[in-house]
Amino acid sequence: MKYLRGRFFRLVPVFFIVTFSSFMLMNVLPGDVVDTLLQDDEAQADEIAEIRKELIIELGLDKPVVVRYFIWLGDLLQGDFGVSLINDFPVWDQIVSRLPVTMELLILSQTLALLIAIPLGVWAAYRVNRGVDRALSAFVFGIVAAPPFVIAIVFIFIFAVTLKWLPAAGYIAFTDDPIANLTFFIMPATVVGLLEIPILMRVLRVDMVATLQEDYISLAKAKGMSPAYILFNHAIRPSSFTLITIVGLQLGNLISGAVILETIFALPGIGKLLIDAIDGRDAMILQGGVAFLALAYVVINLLVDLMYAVLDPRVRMGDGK
Amino acid sequence: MSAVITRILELFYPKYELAEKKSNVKLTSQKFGLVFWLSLTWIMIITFAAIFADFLPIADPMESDLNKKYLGLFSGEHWLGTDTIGRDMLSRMIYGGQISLTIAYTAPIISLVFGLAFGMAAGYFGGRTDTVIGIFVDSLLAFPNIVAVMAVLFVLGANLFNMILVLGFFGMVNDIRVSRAVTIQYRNRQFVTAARAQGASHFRILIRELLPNVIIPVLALTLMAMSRVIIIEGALAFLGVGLPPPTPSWGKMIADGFSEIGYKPHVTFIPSAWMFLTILSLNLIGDKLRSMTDPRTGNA
Repeated sequence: MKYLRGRFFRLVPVFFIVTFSSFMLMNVLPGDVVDTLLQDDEAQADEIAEIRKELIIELGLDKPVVVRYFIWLGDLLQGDFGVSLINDFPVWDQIVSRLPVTMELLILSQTLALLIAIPLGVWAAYRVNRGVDRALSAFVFGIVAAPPFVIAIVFIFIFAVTLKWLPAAGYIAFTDDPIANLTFFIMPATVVGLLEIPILMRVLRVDMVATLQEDYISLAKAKGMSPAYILFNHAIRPSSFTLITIVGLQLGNLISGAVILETIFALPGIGKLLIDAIDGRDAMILQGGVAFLALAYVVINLLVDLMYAVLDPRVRMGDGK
Repeated sequence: MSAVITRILELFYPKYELAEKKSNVKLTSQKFGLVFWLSLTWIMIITFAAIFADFLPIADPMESDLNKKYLGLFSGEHWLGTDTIGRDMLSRMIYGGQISLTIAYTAPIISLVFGLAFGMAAGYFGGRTDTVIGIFVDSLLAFPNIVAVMAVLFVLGANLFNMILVLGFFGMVNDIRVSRAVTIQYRNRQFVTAARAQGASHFRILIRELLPNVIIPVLALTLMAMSRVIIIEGALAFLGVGLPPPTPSWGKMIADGFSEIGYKPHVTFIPSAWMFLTILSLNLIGDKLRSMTDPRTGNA
């Protein structure tokens, strides 16, 4: 538990640093928000100056930026993410309405990635430096060298344009039509999953190769257990720690991938929300969205550490790493 | 050429380390293999083409000819065909490389310098320094990179200089991690203890004793970082939030062709393939250097 507490005290500052820097970034240029709000206003020049002053006071922009950060953070910790500067909708509601899309994309892609990466990683480790291992690393090289948007284009060309099996882009809520919903998610989820597979596979392979050299594996072999039983019952658990850590650490990367693919495949997720916020200079949405993602990152990484404790008795007893 | 690379590697790689690993280790040219040389040749060609683009006998990348739209490969003087408004693709690929390659050759250097400084400090001093730098790394990871880069470019202005700075800043994570790990590996070795016993300062130990050992694996990583920034720049340009037009850019060209993918797919696939080859080459070169200098895999 000491280990978990240590991790907790490391991840909490991360949340503050990320929220603070995103807040500062969006607030280093004061007045921009006001300019955005005023650009459609048809009032006279002297009136504009008046409205501007009122707006600045109304939005609290007259206070020092650090004070504003703490006010915003205080509200945020009470669940109040503020109100969009552009359309007056609460930021929290907008995040919540977009969340299912991004969650579905991430869960589908992560499940797909693990389903493919685990057996392949184990296989590569079992046949290390043999044909299969080499072929798999060549495949990994190919995937890593293709930018996500290029993979997406190739997929769209093959499955949407040429074969016409899948819709090129769009979104239907799962509750409205589950099957149609899944057809829209097949391509983006596969592409995000493909981005993850090389990393997960490589990490598992390295750890697995090390585990397979342990004495207890030789003992299991000597006792005549089948390779499959040894691999999946004896070797995989001690080899999966780095894999699990990576799953948590990759979240930020996954979201970056999701931002690109949500745009290409027209999925109304958090990534799309953030891009639109940047376009519309909506500081509140951007701050709130980044804070939300940072919080998600912290929570998921704490869960990952909990998984450690479940999987490894040494961590649970407190004398682990 | 190979002798030069061997020399550079030997320069950075201390003799005692080589001697310790295997007695007959020598970095010779046949170890690089054909794939490595092909990759390096491709990178050299596009680099020099981008640098001397103005002097090459190629078409103007901006000049459009609406009578010659969507020409295919090898059509007359347009070797790679023409795009949606009849501009020469080959010329646009070469000019587009100016942006991507400028970023690829600069941003990773920024990451490298700061990453080495933070990573070595964390690994060498440990304790509180390590914790603080660890929190910094976690914060960088918690920021969705693409969003961060877009936000910074939007606030500070989308120009080449800002883009290099931001990509360099967020690229530090891997350099910090690797240089920290390698520094920890070496910090209690005999040659470091010996230097300390002779009264060397921390700074001297870090620079003279540890840096030569740490820099090789981090340099190999830098080639991967080059391909990473090319991908991010391409993605930003593809999403339309990169550098403003009319600068030709690979990502922008892919996006332009993408809208006509059902009609003339080659307009989007040629720049895609060009980017893929470039990134693949950089990764292959980086992987070769890494496996040659990674003590675990020996000289495989």
